[in-house]
Amino acid sequence: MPEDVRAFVDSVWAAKLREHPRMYNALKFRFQGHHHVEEQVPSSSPVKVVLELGFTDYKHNIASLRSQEWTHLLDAKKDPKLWPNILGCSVIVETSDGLVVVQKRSNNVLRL
Amino acid sequence: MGVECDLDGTTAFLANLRNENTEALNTSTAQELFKSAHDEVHEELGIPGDALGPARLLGVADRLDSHRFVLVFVLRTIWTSDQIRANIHLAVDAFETSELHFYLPSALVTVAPTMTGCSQAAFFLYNLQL
Repeated sequence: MPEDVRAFVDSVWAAKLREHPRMYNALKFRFQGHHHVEEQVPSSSPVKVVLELGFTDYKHNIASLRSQEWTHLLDAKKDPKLWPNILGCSVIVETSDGLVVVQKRSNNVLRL
Repeated sequence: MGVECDLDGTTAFLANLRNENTEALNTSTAQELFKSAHDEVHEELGIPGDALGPARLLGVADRLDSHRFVLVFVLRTIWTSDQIRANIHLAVDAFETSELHFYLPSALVTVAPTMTGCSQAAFFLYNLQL
């Protein structure tokens, strides 16, 4: 990672820690791409895909979160590998009485 | 790292094998991805694992404005909406939810536009398979 990008990430993280001292950094999956696996299978079979993943971390993600400064910094680098491309998980839950759960996120939760 | 997944969520396979360690890493990664779907539901709604069916991966949503990606899963629970409503306060991460609603699948089209980008993408994928 270029030194100016690393310094920006560190400075944003330090500011966040001052605001929320209980925050901690952790590894997250980074999405790098996907492709289908070509196989001679019946059309009713599940499709197989290969997910290409790497690692990023929460700290890197926070630094890129809705930040114009980050966007300008990364636009100048023209290197897509510098984006954290954090991979999240969204789950749709179907209940036994035929409904789907919809939650409204609390203000206590970071919106990614 | 290459992870090959069956989209029915029942098994996870491997691709791009180079050695046994890579195979083990890919296997555990695929398992972790599907496990994360169950963990998320258990932690946020309080539904125990044995009341949840297998997670099925519908696709990957790409949030273009922020370079964020979301694996979209769907799973069924043997719990009713009333059971979830009555027990969500026991969930470890209950604080993450400020309102809880239930909709018929066919009604999601009308409420999805009011949601965040990730949720809109998730319900778009969901509607494709209804």
